[in-house]
Amino acid sequence: MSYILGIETSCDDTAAAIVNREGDVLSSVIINQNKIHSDFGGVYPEFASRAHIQNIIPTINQTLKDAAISMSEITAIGVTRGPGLIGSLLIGVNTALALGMGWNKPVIGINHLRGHLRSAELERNEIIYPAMMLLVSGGHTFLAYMPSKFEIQLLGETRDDSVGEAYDKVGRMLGLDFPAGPIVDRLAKSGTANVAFPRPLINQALEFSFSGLKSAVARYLASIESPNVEDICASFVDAVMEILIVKCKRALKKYPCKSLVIVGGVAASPQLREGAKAICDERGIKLCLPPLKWSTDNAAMIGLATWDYLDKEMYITPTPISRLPLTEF
Amino acid sequence: MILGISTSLSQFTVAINREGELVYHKQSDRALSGHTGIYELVKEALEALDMATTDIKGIVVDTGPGGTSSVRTGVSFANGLSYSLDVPVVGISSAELMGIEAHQKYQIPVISLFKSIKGNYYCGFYDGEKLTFQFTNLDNISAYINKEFTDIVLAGHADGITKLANLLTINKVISKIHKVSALTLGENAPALLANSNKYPILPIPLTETDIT
Ligand SMILES: [Zn+2]
Repeated sequence: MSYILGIETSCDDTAAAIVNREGDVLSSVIINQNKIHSDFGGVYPEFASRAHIQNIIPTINQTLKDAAISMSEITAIGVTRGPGLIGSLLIGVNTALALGMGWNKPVIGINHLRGHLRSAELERNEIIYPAMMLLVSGGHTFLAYMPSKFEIQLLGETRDDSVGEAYDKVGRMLGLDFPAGPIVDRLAKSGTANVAFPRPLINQALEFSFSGLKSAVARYLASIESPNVEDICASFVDAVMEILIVKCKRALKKYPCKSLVIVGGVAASPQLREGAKAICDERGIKLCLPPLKWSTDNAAMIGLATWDYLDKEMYITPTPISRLPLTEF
Repeated sequence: MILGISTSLSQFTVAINREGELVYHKQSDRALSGHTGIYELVKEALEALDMATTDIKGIVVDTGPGGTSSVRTGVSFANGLSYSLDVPVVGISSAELMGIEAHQKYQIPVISLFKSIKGNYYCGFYDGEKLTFQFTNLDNISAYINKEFTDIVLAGHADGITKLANLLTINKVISKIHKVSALTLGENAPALLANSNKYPILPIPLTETDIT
């Protein structure tokens, strides 16, 4: 058999995985730094880089052990070259280059976002193209149209905070643990959406903005004596979901698709899943919600994307690029 | 063959020692090398010597002080190569590498200075065998040296050395050693590797230090 070793260090997770062409994941190891970053209410780049250098070889070693394959079965190494934190990217890239040199394997630089978009097809799940992609995570928020697995058209992204960041910042204001997303969603369920928070850019095409919403929550908290946390969560989640659903509907109307794919950490939100299901039922298209472990940052998606690069004979030398655009390979 | 790598200061350095002899060394400007320059330099060295990667039997890597990202570039590359080739890697401080060079020349204790934040300095004292670190301002460093030493060589950050020299009342030598030497790294690589540990070799994480 023939496999890819995928390596991912773009943000705060150190990850490696072994994946075949069909998207079967032989092994996947992710070491996250949530404990380190919870003290800061977010990702602290210096600590992220330091943890990567400590964790990366043990992560790769465990991945290879779990996969129990011989080195001759590895076709190539795919490593995230961007976008991401430069201090984190360079650990993955330099490690990958050294492994490639030592094992005599090609090393290919992969666009992290392309990895996310291909993640929905891990473990033989099938996206029916053309597809509408919504990536909602701590690092990114955008809508993209994919006529095929190779072609990506960016339709709109956030002008400021990502959805995940907004969740984390609101969570922090309310004194909740990091990452706050699941806690905010849970509290929202037992609250009432009785605070009228704004829906920034809701009427404007397919771009997003969440910093105004976040500030509105801060202003509201400063203005009242004893806030009801559940109600604030419910009102915040309501605003976020209305924005995301309205934009998805608008995008699907303009670019008719056969599937709607939602990836990224916020894809775990039960409220978003419900809303997305309603859209797809209404339009009669397929909803692809990959298992959460492949929606959040992982190396299996980088490994799967690497096959696309090999098919296109794109042997991109991995140099870290912090702001690598979605449309580039 | 033993591979020496240094990426912590203003230059990326590769040195190769074969059977106790320095057979190759090259430095390239850090700013021009970028984040993957060390890979290019090592590849170039192996090609120049017509050697295979598997000829590498050990690695010595500079673990700083220095620019945090650039130190990590070299260390992550060295760790990856050590793991994939299953050969030992040993970390050596940039302060010790400058200390070795200065000590071999002058035979007296050495202080290697690194500029840090808020006008402070990070410095390594090297006596020919052992390296100890201090992080403080020049007044405290000079008071310490005046009390503890009779002779000292000054190496490292050029402006810092000049300023420190003015505060010293003991015998001092102002050296021209401001960065890691490829020759020192290459010639001493076998002796340094004799103290070898296998992975992990971590860079001394100096958030206080940022040398450009
Ligand atoms: Zn991501």
